[in-house]
Amino acid sequence: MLGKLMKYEWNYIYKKFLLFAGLMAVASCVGYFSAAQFSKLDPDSNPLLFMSIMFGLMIYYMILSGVSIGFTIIIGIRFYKTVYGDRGYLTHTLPVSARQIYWSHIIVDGLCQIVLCVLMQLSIMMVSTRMMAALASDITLNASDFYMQMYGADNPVQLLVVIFYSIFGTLVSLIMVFASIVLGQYWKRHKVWGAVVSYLIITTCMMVVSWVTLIPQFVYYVFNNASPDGIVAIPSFFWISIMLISAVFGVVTFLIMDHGMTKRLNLE
Amino acid sequence: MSELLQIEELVKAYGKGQKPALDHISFTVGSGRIVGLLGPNGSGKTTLIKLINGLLTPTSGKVLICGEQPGVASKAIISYLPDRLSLPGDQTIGECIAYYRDFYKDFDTERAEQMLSSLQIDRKKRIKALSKGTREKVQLILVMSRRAKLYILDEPIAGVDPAARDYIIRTIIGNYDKEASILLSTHLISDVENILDDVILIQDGSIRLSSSVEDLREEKGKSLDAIFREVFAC
Repeated sequence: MLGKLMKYEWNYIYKKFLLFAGLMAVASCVGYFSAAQFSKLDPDSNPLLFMSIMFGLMIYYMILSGVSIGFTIIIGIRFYKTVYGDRGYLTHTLPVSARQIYWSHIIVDGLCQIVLCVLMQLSIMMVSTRMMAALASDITLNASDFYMQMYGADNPVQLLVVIFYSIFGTLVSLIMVFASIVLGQYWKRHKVWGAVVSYLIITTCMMVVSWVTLIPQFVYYVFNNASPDGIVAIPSFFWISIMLISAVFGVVTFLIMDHGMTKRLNLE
Repeated sequence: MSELLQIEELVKAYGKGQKPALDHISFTVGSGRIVGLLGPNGSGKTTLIKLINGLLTPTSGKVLICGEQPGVASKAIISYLPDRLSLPGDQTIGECIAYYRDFYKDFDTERAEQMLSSLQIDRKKRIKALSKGTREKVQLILVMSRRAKLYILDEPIAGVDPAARDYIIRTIIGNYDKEASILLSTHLISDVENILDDVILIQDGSIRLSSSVEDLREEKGKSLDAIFREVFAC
């Protein structure tokens, strides 16, 4: 039955997924061509070209942000309508378990999110390396240079950690969205607002915990800055700490979602 | 008479300190019965039906379907018509049929197609493009096209014209397996009076009266509609 639920979830989401991936491809082209012109960036000699480049990069940034936020919103609305809206009366009376229902969403929507996340990483890498190359024509940048510049990952292990974090973080974010929607159901009269506020509370908590945990590491970094070993070690600590915090929040929000859907379902 | 549905001391309160929507309700439904769950608006009928379908979590008490609590097994044998449209508006009727066929082993596609043809409803039309009455008929057709053990129909004739009511009642009567049972909630008694075997009269979350229709008519010497008006007189 999980396979059938996943099939119907995919049937619904794939057109939206392709649309967003297409939008990202268009934005990447705009960003790439704008970045290629970066060497000619001089507002005094050619203000029109300057405006075009800046506008192109702005559009690129806005579409990329829009794709990320927009797709998450679509997935969230879909989850809400399927599980707690009028459609929920059909979903919850199918001969399937509540766990199969949420897993179908996590697997299908999560895969789409991961693919979009990978595409976004590739797009940023493509545009950034092109921009750097345009600024300094004597520099040739490859993927590892890019990750070194962007995330301070200077060896293959750290690179894998960063890539794994991108995927893992995407799944955790998705679970946090679903858990927020489940928590929103405990707000008697304002379930949608309840979900939004729950999401804000969860993300704020995560940010606060992250900062509190990372500040000692930054202090350590500052004190050991003179040591070459220290410089190499800090990024690993940083990513591993963030990943552990994400894992803790991922597990907690997953348990909230599981409890809400299996033990506390109330379609009022 | 085997017990298909068993409700024991069921309580449902929506919030702490609030009056329970259902207060210690107990009854059973055997096989092959058409049971009317009757009561005024807000009496707790829909809450009870949702609890049987596992859409609400009980505060206390038990709901047992063929001896099991609401879950995957009970959903496979209950065909439920909610009091609202639960079909996805962006899907065609044909896609909804495929959806039901995919998930419910007891779904009879041929029966659904026949009923749709008799009403001349185009399978290619999207749900959102249908009129309210047609949507309700399509939903009823899908629900009644299952060969379920228990049909639970929440207000199937509310908000439709008398001609449509007749069609709905004919569809219900003409399509259920005689071994199966129907639990039908309504406050429009006169329309369903002749098809009911048993009635449960519910008010303010408590059962006021539970009896077979035949016994009730003999005992009171009145129609069910008259008894309803008497019990629930304002």
